[in-house]
Amino acid sequence: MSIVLARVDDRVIHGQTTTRWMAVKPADAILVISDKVAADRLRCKVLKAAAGQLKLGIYTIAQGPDALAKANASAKKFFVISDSIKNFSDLKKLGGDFGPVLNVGNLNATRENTKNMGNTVMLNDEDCIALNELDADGVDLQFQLLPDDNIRTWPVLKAKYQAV
Amino acid sequence: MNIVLVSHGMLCEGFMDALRMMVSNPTSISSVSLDDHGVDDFRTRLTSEIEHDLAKGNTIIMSDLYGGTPFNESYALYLQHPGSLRVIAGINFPMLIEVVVTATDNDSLDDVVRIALKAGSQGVVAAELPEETADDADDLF
Repeated sequence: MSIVLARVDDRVIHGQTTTRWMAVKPADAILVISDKVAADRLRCKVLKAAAGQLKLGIYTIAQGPDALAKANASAKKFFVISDSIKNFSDLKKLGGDFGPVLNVGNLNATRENTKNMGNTVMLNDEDCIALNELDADGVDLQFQLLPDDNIRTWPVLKAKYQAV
Repeated sequence: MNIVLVSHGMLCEGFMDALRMMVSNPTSISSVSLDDHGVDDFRTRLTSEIEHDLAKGNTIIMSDLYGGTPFNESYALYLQHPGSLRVIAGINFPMLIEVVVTATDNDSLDDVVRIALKAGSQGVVAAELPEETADDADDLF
């Protein structure tokens, strides 16, 4: 399986990614798929530095499915990272294949009307819609910040969201 | 393996705080700081912590500065327990993360020391400006 980790992380590439996740799921390159990130030239440069020795590709959502297809066809191993759940849902709708599992890590950048689900995951209604869509599509949603954390599932978090 | 961080002031506490952003439930790690209660008090607290840890197994002390009081007191304990204790000076964050991750399933003191020194020195780098090369998308896949 060429895509070894598909992750939602609004910090995109940072310590947890490069030290912890890379150690348990080694990869050759990182693909970042996000309109917001792709449009920010300075941020792209910072991410390239943060990726260190790893190769890095940054794509818009529109470019995403094609990049994913190339990754799936490649012998190399990839991380696929985006900064929102909706981005992954949109990628799937465009025919992008990032694999059967979506890891949800950091989601705590300031956004409207979010509820705190704990362990740096903040969700709003838009996130829930996307999560439901991905779930209905058969994607295994795993809420897990670090590899040594327990995996929390969408049904558990959904109940928590509705209870708050 | 047990890990004990020692430092002047709150530096070791700071490392513990930062560590929790990288490792969710670090096990068997503690810190002993040299505060203004002085050397004798520090020695008492450190000795108590180390004796507690050595009863459980191999232990590594990570100190801030070679030749400083926290290191010196640690070194005295190392002389008394050379078979089950190691001491490192010059702790930094990349070193600490690597040691914590390694120590969960590697009980070899010499292995952990070697890994610590390598991670510690490899982690010290200067930022470089990006090269203005053509997009390396060609060899990405």
